[in-house]
Amino acid sequence: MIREHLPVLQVVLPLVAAPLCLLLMRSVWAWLLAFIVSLAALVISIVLLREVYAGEVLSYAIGGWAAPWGIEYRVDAVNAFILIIVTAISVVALMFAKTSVAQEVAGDKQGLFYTAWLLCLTGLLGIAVTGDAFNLFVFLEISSLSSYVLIGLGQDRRALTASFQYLVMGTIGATFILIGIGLLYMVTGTLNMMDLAARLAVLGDSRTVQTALAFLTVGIGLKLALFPLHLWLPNAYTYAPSAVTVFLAATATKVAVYMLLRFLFQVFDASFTFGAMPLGGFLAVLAAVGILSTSTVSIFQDNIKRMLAYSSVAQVGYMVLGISLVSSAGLTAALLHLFNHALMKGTLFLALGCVAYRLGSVRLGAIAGLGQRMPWTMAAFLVGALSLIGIPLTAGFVSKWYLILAAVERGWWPLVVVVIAGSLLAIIYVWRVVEMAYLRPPPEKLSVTEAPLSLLVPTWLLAGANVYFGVDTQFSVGMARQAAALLTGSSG
Amino acid sequence: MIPLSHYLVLSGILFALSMIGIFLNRKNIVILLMAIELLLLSANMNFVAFSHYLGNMSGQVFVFFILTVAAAEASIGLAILIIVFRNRQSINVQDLGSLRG
Repeated sequence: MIREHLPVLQVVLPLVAAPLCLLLMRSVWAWLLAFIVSLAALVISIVLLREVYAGEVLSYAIGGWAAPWGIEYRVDAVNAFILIIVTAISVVALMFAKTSVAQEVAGDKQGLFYTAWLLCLTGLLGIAVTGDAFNLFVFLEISSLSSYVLIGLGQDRRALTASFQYLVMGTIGATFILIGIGLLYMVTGTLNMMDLAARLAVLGDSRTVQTALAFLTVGIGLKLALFPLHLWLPNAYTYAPSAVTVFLAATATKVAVYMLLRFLFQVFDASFTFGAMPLGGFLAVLAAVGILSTSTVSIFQDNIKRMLAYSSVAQVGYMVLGISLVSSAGLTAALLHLFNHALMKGTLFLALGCVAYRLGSVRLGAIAGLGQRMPWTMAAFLVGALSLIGIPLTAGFVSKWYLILAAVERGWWPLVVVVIAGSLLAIIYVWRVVEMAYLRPPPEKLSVTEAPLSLLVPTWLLAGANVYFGVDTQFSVGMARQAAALLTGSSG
Repeated sequence: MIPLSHYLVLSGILFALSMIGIFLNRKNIVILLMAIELLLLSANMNFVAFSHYLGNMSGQVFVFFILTVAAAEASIGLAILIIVFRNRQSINVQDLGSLRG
């Protein structure tokens, strides 16, 4: 009975719990509710994944209205994969949030904080699960609006300006997506993604469809911080509360990458987006320039959070690079990196959250000798950093390996060089932190101790996942491969 | 009967105006918010015109959703703006540049 309603429950549960969170006066209760709801969402997404793992597609018509007219929720291997990432990260980040947020956000605002968190979760899950283009826009706005609030709650006064900057850029992006969807609606008269795909295939090429593609690509590019459109991201990640940075860095851009995949490969035909339109080369160049330039910029950052934020832009570049290869192997690499990047950036930002909890600062100068004072925290950071570089036996290695294989398969040797150069640059910026933490003596009067267990446990959960998925790649590679086959299959 | 292209040109003009407002505006953040609203309105204009010429009402329903979203957007933007103003006594775009470091 309840099984068939799972696709919609996934979204409705956090949506209904969000206002309840606001009503609970005590912040502990609000946290507990948010945590239980995320956990429930994780369980639902695991059940969904098991059902679609065999290649099945679950379709759910909201309110019983059949697909092309009503809103349809579709779960297949691609979005089941995304759902797992989003819900798992939300659970881990909320475990971390209890202690961290209690310190960083004023007591009376904590109820609001968890409300916004659940709304953001609703939006992200909704984008992943919906099969309706307009519904996607609404969920996009739900997640964006709540993430502006979450970022704005940061301790630093500059959090507000960062949030405002994100609001301006994010709204422009969302409006571009909306205009694109509007143009598609004009040529086809439908908004259901499957229906859109079917009708666009019949209609063929026209200037309206081309414009729609352009608007959608730029709009989603803004949301996923594709290289020249990434300017909002470093500030937003730097000044947001630690737990929020973890959550957004590991999920928000991933969901945007998912949107890009859905539109480029399923709504439009891959032969149109990459054959008739020169989008493949365009994305590849942007991604390559993005990887090199943002990796270089992150070497010169003094604030470690900002450094990792720039590195996030570079990592998004790897995903887009995989997409631009337009092959099953390239998509596998992109999806794999999507999963692995959520793990490694999650670990890194969680470890930084521990540092911020004890030190109150994440500047490079402040962490001198921290390897001795907070050994567990810095060890987790090290695991995440190794994964970020792509050392064998960590998750990062697996996805970069697949990316290189995919580039070689297409014979695009310059991209192989870019990927390796990006990893070398990553060694440089990570080394600055490692050197500061391990090789410098701690200041005499520095009396910090190891972070509390409530922060260390989630950090090590993700750090462990980095190693686990670096060794046992059966789940991640299998899932990515299946999702890639689904995306290219329906377009071929 | 006014042809569809007229509506599209109008929404194109609105779009261009808001882009100018966003990128050339060097003074006032409130104008920035207004330009964003205008951007959403130009999208609305498209939806209404398309829905009229397609004879399909759903486009007009969406406009209500978009209006709601635009209102939420503006309220969050203004809320941030008020706190920023309290902190700095200024709503100059240049002050948004003080994020370095």
